Amino acid sequence: MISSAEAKLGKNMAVLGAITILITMAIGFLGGSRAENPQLATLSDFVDFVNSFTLIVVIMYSLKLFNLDEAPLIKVIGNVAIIGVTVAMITDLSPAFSAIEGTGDGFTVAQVSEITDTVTTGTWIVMPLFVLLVSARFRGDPIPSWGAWGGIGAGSLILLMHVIALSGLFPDTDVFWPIWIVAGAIGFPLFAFGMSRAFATKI
Amino acid sequence: MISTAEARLGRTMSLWVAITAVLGLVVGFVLIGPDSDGYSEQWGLLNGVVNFASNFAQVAMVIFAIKLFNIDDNPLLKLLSYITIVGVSISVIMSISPAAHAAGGFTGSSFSPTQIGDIEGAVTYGTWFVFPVWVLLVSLKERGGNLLPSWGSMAGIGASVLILVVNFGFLLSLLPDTIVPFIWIVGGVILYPTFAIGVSRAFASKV
Repeated sequence: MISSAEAKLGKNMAVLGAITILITMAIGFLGGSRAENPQLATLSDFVDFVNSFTLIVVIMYSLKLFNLDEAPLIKVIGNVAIIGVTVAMITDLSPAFSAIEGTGDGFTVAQVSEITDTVTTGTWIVMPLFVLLVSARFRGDPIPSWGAWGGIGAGSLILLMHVIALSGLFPDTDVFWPIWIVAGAIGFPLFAFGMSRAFATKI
Repeated sequence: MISTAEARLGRTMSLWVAITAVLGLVVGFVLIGPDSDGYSEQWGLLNGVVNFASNFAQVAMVIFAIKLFNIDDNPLLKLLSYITIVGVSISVIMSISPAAHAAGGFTGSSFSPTQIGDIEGAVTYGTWFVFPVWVLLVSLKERGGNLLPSWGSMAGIGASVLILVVNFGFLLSLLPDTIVPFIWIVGGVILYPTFAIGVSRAFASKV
């Protein structure tokens, strides 16, 4: 049974998660590579760090909120997602750290960035799967229908994006921008606000 | 107390562990070949998907085994269970990385898929020390045959001892590379899947 304090933290972190994903999208549009705009890249890494933290809290408490004993598959996916997003969080700032002089020169910043992507590739398959399954199962109660549809849309689109990317059919990443905008700027924030409302029912 | 739904999923996932262990051998030995060095452009994605499924099934098996075998009452085994869950989960999220890198797209080009596979191996190396110890201790704890069939616990003891001895043997450079196929077949395709099938039977008793 989720406590009132846990539900309150879950509610706040879900809202913060929605806000930080929107900031990430905005920074992505402001554009520029790390070499062109290192301060913006560092800011983006920091926002990602905060976003990953909020995701961990939301998933962790959602396992209690939804009482998943009768939905064990979602429980396992949720546990793997918590570990995956934790790995993402602890590596989010690594490229920014490696850009600082005196922090070792074994790898370039680009290489460190690729290593952090490598250790979290599957996270962005497991986490959207969790969002999709939770949204589909708890649509209407306790997640508001609009939030669940946001989660179903975002989860499905991100999974579709991975299938397309793994198939190697579209190596040009420009193909993914429309999917990323709909999923990241509309679907996921809707889901996060919906989760916030779901947590609020237990305060 | 394990719920019926959890026991049912634990049973299915344990069977899946056994099946994917055999599939892994087919992909690794038959399709890719034991002499192949590095990422296979042809079979790398399939290999990644099988590893992903296998690791996911192992995480599920360990998570529900904690409830099934009352591991909460055994603090050392409980600790090893949590470390195993974290280690194998990291393997889950990295399984697809070499294939994703080979496919291109957002992944960058600083490293080759073979190097990405090596990074994956380096990051998860200790998992394959902790997990066999978990299998060994569970098999020893359950060797009475109450939940885990005795053939399952014997297979678990055999697989884990074999893997641990080989891991240390390689670390200390005491074993030749030629022993790998033998170990893979005996430990990974006969003994470990037999243990997993035994765990599946144990879960089935709670359905």
